[in-house]
Amino acid sequence: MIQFDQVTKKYPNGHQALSQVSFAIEPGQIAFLTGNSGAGKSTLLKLIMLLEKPSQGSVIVNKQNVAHIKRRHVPLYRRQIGMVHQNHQLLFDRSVFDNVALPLVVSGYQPKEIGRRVRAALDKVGLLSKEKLNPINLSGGEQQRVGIARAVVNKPSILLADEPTGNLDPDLSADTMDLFMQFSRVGVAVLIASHDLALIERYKHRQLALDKGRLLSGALG
Amino acid sequence: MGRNNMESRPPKRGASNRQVFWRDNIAAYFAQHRAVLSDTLDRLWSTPLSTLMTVAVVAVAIALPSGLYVLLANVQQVAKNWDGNAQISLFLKDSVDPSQAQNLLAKIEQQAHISRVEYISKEDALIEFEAVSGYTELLEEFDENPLPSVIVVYLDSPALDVAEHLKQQVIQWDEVQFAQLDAEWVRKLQSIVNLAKSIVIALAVGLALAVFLVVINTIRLAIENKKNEIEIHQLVGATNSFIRRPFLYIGAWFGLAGGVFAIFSVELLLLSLQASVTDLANQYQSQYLIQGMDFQSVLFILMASVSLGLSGAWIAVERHLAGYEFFAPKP
Repeated sequence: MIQFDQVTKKYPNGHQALSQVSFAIEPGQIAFLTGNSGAGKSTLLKLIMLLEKPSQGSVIVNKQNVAHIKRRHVPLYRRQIGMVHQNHQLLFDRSVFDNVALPLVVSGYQPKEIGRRVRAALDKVGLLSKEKLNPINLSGGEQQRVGIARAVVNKPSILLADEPTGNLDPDLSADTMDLFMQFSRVGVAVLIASHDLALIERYKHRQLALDKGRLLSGALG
Repeated sequence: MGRNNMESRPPKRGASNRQVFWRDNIAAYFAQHRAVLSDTLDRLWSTPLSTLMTVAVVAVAIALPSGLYVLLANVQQVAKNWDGNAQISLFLKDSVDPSQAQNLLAKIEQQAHISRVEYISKEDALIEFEAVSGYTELLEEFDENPLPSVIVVYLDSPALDVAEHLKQQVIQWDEVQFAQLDAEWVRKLQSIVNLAKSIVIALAVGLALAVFLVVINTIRLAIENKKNEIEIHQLVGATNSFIRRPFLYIGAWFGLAGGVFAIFSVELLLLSLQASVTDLANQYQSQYLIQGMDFQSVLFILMASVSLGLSGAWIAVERHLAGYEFFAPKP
C-alpha cells in the first residue's frame, strides 16, 4: 500500500532529511513512525502527501509511483489519503460539520451524501451532538477528534497521523489509538508519527524508528 | 454481476470511491456553485467598507469614459440633427433695398439644388436679435440699425461641394457683402467629436487597466487572508479550479457592482444635465432630449466590467497557485 524504496530526501538548503529509507506498509497494517524531532518523520509524511518529492528512490502508494503523478492529478491522489495534523488544521470560520465535510465538498459529493457521511464520521468519534458548534469552542481533545473525523470521512485507504496524541492526556490518547485501530481493522493502512514513547510501548504495533534520516529498525514488518 | 446490483452496492473504499455517477456530479457541481455564490456574497458583505471602496474605484473608472462617450454621442447627434442639408447665409450690402433683395431671391431660386430661400430684412433681423439675445441696450448705442439684411439659402443636399460651388458663385454678385457656409462648423464639430471619441477610447483602455490592477490587488489581499484555508483545502484534495472558484466569483461581483454603479451614475449625470440642455435648446427653438445609454451600451459596459473583474481575479489566483508548487519546500 505504501512502499518506500531507497528514498533519500535532500532539501535545497543541503539538509538531508531522509537517507536510503526502505519499508512497506500493507493494507490493514498499523505502524508507528518514531524518532526525535528532526529525525525525518514529517518529511516522510510529506513525501506520502506529495507535499515534497524524493531526491532519490521511489515512493509507491496504492501501486502508483508518486513521481509519475501529474500535477493536475495531485488533488485526486490526495483524496485517497486521510491526514490527522498535529495542530488539527481546522477552520474556525465554520462549524464542526462543515470542517468534517471539507474533503467531501472538494470531491464534489451531493449535499445529501455529505450529510450522511459527515454524521457517520462524527458519530464514530463521539461528536455527533457538537456538529453545529464552532471548533474553537471545543477542547483540544475534541478538536483532535474533529480532525480525525475529517481525515476518515472520505473513507481513505491510507491514514496518516502527525503526533496525534501530542497535546492529549493519557486517557484521550488511548481513545484516539482505539479509533486508529478500528480503522486498521477495516483495511486502512495507518501510519502514526509520534515521539510519545509511553504510548508506543503500550501498543505492540510495528515501529519504524528514524534517526537523523536513517531507518534504524522496522524496515521489515 | 448485474448492473443494478453494481449500482446498489455501497461505494468501495479507496481510490474508487470518487466514482460518483455523472448525474449526481452535475447536481453536486451546481450545488457547489450555489454555495460559492452565496458564500462570496456573505464574505463581501461582512467587510462592507473595503468592498464598497473597491466597487467605488471600479465604478468611477468605468463611469468616467462611459459618461464622456455618451456625452460625445449626444453632441454628435445634435450636429447631425441640426439640419442635414447645408445652408448658406448671404449678408447683403447696406445699399441693397428690399426690392433689389426680392430680385436677388428670384435669381437664387433658379439655381440648382435650392430647397427654399428666406429673406430676413434689416428690421426683422433686429427684432429677432432683440428677442433672442436680449441685448437691446447694446443696440441703442448705435444711431442706426447695424444689422445687415440676410438671405438664407437652404440647399436640398448635404453635399458640401455643391454648397461650396454655390457660395463661390453668389459671392461674386454685387449685392452680396459676404457669404457663410453654415455646414462648415458642423463638419468641424464632427471632426472634433471624432477626435474626442478616440481620446475617450484611449482613456477607457487606461482606466480598464486600472480596474484590472485594482481587482488583482484586492483579490491578492483576499487570498492572503485565506492562505490557511487554501492550504487545508489543498491537503484534502481540492483542485485548483475549486480553489479558484470563490475568488473568480468575488472578482465578478466587483465587476458587476462597479458596472451597475457606473451606469447609474452616468444616467444620473445625464438627468441632471437635461434641465440646462433644455434651456439651451430653447434658445435655438429646439427641443433636445439627452440620449441615454441604449441597451447595447449597458450590456457592453456590464460585460466589460464583469470580464475585467473575472480576469483580474484569475490572474491573482494563478500567481498565488504558481507560488504554491506542491513540490516546493514549505517553511
